[in-house]
Amino acid sequence: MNPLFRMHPDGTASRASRVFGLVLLVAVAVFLAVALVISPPDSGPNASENSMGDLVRIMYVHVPVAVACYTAFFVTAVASVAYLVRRSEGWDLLAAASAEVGVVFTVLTLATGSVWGHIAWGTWWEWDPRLTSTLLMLIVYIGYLALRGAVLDPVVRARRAAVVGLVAFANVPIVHYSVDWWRGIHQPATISRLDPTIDGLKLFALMFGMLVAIAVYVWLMVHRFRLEFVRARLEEQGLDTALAERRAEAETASGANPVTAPKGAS
Amino acid sequence: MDVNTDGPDDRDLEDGGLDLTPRTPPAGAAVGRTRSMRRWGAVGVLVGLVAVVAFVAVQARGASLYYRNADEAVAQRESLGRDRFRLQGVVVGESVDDGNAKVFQVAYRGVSVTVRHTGKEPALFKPGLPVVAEGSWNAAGTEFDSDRLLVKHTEDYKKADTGDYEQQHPDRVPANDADSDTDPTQAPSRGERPDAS
Repeated sequence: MNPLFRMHPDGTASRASRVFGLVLLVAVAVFLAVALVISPPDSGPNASENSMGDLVRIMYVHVPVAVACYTAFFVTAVASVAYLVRRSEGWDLLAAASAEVGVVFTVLTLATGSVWGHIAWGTWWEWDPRLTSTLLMLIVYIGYLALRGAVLDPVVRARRAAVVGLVAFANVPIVHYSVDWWRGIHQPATISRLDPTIDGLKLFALMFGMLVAIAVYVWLMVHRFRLEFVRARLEEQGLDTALAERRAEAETASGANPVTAPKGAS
Repeated sequence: MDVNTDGPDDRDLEDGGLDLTPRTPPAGAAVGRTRSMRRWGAVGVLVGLVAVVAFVAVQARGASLYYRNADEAVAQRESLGRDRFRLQGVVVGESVDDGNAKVFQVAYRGVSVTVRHTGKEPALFKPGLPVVAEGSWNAAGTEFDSDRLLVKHTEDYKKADTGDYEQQHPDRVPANDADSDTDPTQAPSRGERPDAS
């Protein structure tokens, strides 16, 4: 088998991550039961002023995935700083993995919010400060990933990505506080305040959802980080393999003289 | 890397290293074209990115003046004329359907405006909830003609209190710095909500 395609013998999983994955699967199932069935709809005598009915349940997914994307980008920023200080490959790979997982969570945040907005507000999309800044955050982190794909030298890539990974985080607090700083259609904070405006089973479902989303983030990160690590090894191996192949080619092509001045090198 | 360790550095072309670029003849021309294509590609991506960021930034500037509260809309009636803008206020009382429009009152800081809305309304539309209506003052400046209506639901998911939303949330949205002449310190704070449990 071509050494390029020989993967890490254990793939990206370990015994611990498998157990974690199983526990997480059960937790997700229990969470869905709490969010979709056990927690009360926002109607009847205990309804809030919004009286959202079953629509309130989308919050138990929307807010947790948003918290997960903040967490992911925070980890990218911290890992970027750590890389700039320590210059060790691990921090760079951690930053990259977290940014990618964060992008997935950001897309989920925008998608779930859009569905919620379509029904509650009456529009799929609005150029509201929260929505606009979130979209900008998504674009910036996609740019971060594109930058990583555009630089071939691993050391140059790591350095540039670390600077972008750090600078990009400046937008995250803007996203969070946009609902307080500017007027918009999006509601202000419900839980990240001194007097949360949610209680009972609704609060439990929301907190449980956030715990599950963070756990899903961690699980994804375990695998994504290992994959990134294996890819870095493959990249190194790929260079050696290319060297060996080109050398073999050169030897067969020019017979006795393997080291010839390459064409187009000047 | 075990192969030919005493040879030249393979990664350095100047040092007589091997050209590792995939070979598609004629080598010289192809490499030159690829490089310039890559450069133009990078410039293209950069220009595209700048355009996207500029577009989003312009939209965000508009979004920062997302709506005018009912009291501001009334105060600025002269200068607004027939300009299109978004009006924010809490729906007060039941709405009346006069055949071709839905007519209802929105209020903010004690100032109410009659809205004449033609078009769809969101499922959450109901008295007591804030809405953002898009449209303009009518010719006489007496009513707001709206053709797009959004519900701005609140952040409160606790059991509803007395339902008199306006009185309990006087500081619900920030005052417009430039235009507001009301003193925010006169408004009771959120913490004084009577029925909050």
